[in-house]
Amino acid sequence: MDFLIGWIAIIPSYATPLLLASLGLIICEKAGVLNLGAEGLMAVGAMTGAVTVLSGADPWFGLAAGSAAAMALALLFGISTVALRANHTLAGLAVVAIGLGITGVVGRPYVQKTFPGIPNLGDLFGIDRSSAFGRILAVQDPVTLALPILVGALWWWISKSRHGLRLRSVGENPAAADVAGIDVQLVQFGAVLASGLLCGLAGAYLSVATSHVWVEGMVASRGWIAVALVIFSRWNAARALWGALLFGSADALVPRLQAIGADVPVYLMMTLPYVLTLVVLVAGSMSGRRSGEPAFLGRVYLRQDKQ
Amino acid sequence: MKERNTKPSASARLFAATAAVLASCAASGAYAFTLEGAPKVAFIYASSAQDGGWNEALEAGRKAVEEQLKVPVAVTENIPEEATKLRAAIDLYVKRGFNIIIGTTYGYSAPMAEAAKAYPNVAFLSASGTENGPNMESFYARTYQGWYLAGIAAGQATKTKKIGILAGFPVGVVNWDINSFALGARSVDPAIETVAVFANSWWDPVKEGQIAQAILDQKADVLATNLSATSALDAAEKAGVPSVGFQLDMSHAAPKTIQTSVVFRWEKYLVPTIKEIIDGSWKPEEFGAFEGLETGVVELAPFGPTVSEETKAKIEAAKQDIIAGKLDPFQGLLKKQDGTVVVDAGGKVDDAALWSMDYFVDGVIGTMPAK
Amino acid sequence: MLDTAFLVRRQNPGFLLTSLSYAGGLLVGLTVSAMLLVHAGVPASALVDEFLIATFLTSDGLSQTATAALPLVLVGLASAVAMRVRFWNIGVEGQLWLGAIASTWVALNGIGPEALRLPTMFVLAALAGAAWIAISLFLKLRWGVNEVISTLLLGSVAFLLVQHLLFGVWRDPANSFPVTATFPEASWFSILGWGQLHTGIFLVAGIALSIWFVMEHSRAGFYADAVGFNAKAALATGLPVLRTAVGLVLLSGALSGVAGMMIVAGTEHRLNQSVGNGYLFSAIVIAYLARAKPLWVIVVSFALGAVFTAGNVLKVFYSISEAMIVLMQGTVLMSILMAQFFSTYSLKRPN
Repeated sequence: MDFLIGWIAIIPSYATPLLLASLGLIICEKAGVLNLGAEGLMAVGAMTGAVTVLSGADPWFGLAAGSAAAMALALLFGISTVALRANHTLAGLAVVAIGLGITGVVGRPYVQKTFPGIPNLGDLFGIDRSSAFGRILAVQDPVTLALPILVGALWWWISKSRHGLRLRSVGENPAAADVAGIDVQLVQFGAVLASGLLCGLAGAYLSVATSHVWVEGMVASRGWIAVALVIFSRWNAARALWGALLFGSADALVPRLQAIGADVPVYLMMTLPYVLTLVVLVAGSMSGRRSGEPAFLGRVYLRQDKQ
Repeated sequence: MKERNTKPSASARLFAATAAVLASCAASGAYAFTLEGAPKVAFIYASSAQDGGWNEALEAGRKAVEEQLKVPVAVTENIPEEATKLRAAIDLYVKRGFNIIIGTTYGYSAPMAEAAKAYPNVAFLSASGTENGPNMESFYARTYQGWYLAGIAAGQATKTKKIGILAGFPVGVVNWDINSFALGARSVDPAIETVAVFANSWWDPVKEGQIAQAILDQKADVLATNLSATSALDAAEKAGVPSVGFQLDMSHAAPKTIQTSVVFRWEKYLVPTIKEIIDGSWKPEEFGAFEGLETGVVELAPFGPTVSEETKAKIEAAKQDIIAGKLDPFQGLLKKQDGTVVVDAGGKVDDAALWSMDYFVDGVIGTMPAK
Repeated sequence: MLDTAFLVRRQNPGFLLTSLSYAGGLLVGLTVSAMLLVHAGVPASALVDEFLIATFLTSDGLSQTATAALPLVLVGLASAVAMRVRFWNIGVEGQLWLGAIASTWVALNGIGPEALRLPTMFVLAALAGAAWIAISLFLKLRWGVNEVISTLLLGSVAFLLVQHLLFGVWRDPANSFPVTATFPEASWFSILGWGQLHTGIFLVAGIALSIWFVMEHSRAGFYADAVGFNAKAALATGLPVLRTAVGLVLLSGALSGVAGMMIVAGTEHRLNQSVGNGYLFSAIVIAYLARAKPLWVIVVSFALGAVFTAGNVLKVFYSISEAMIVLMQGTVLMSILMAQFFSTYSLKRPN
């Protein structure tokens, strides 16, 4: 029972950054812009968040600063892909390189310096930890708590609202959207910036909320997992929540099995999140559901191409 | 490997066989070497030198060499553990007249040995390396001695009789730290159990913080980290749990709760060794340099505020016993996690068996990955 | 946004315009990089002396570049042949690890007669790489699972498999470090006597020329370009397009596998945890910049090899960090990408 409570309590700290980044990528890709740059955007968010807090700012401000800095890098991505029609895959990889590179260069003096992070609910509200529920709730932070609301809102916004319809139409059929009077480039720019905001927040969450320290390379491929989660979730915000929880719980399980001395092949166990994701994908396809991939994802729209 | 048991294990024989080949050119066990040209020293790191841990500890040694020996010292960072890239860096240095090259990770060891054969007049020192030769010496410290003392501190501090340690990968030099930590704690109270978890990375503060929580959830009330990132210590400080750091004095990460840190003082090895190389009196050890508390290459950082006088006295006594050779952390009777006997009473684990240590001792709760 | 002017795709951009925009992008990227380096404390004069001369005009520099380029050519080709049939192989590193595992297994266990050791390693590495990508291919063909995600995930699985072996059966018994024993010399490509360059270069040259022939002078290349990887359309045409596409995807995996063999048998002579890192980024960049043309893959691979050599010089003598080099690579790539705009599109005002 203790094992279960401890495990459940820690899952959100694994899932939150993955989910935040995936949500950003979903918005971006719904508008037809394939974004493989999450790793770089998260790195910028993580470094900026940490440096901001180390310079004496409030941790909450650190999260905001991380988002803003990643938005700046996303702007460059937007200029290359949306305005200059560069290949999305390559521009995404360039964003990864620039993000990882610039954080290493700029953040060098700030490595390994601990700072205060954001408080958890236990600190904020003095939650009673005697019950299992209390124990789980007390170690969560406000960002994690707000996530289900964000997921719900995004899901509604994308699939039900008028703006969401515009966003989707740009990703599905930009020519038709154009005819309907939607400014395709403007919508795509907005979506790219949103991905910068959320990926930056995800990165800043890693440094400011989870580990209270910044080191080079600390995103450690979590951005790539987020890219995979988007496909896993079939570009659906609600399903991304389950995906992140599934991935996070598998990831959180391995060290906990070691801690009780379970006799398991650890490295093979660590393939579990990846294998599970593939299995769920296959199961989804077998039941004949659409992949949900926006029809125009990763392609370049020109007005002359419209039919 | 200065002292060896009379009954060598399989791996000790392996060591000896390798050494016999390498030593064929030397007279009596140790090699002789003369440096050509003015001494110029170069350090090559696999990642950033300012990493707040392993590299930074070596960096302190480098600075001491520069200041005390007044020789030019160059630094290169981020050379990956790949033969081509390391060799290219070494070639560049040698071309520019650098003749004392220090590599800083075990992954450099084999390519460095190849370079050492190609450049017989250049001296190579390999941190946590595995290869030795007429102009190459690997060096590491008996970190397990420090971890034994840290284990005593943890054993004194625990109330739940359960302590925890977070580590990187299951390699010999890490396994002996875990085991020795557990044995040190058991020297205080044989009922103490040690939870050990491998992070499967050397460098992921996010994961390290999360694993620290996993260990604390097992009711461990002392948390040690064998890794560099501060996030585990930060988690311990938050939980009000005594902690132990590694590599550098980590008290900045947990000023209230830290007990001590097991630290490297590489200058105690590097300064005299490089001085010998320059003087022409250097004789690389057949099995590499492997010093401990006696030379101070490994030691404990100043104790934290919560460590009692009684604990300090116990640690000091054990330290003197280890230096005097009266106590060895891995002396018999030593049992593995599964109860099989490693060494009978009266014996001790020899150096070759230390390096190949791939098991947990009795009293450790944890999983050896890939076993 | 561009209401007063239309953006039009140029029908035939012409060699001059294409080269100019390419060169312009490269120049801007290199200029920004040079400014970054000068800002980081590298004297401007040294940029020419050390960087260009040490890299391109010294024997050591050239042999290092050639050695580094060998696996790059292979992964570049791997990415290129898959790209030609619109299959995004994001798992190049995974297939490379599998190839490295297969060749390590052959080398450590002395499989087959010694004279055939290298050919055995070659064949098994190619098969292992092809088998790894075959999983993604099967998932795509059978259930329509997106190959971006499946190759990416299987790449991570392959790395964990390597760790399982390195910390398990293949660990160095003397010190339990995750490095295999050094291979017997029968499993090494022989050194040619010019730096670390080895006989693997002949294998790479043979492979590259064969692929050039297949892609540019055979029907396979034609089918690949004509239809791409679209199973439905392929079946509808009645041409063996699907078979071609499947063949090229498997070839992509096999090439990555051979790259793994090239690394362990050519320069490392052992397997460790870091030999395969970073090849995915290189593979995609090479294939794209070479526009998936095999001969250009060779050229771009050597250029990237030169960047690695130059990066090494910068690291050694100016303490320039890896991060700075990664940043420069990203900057150059981004500016070339952006510059393509000017040769691909033109702005037309409405009459």
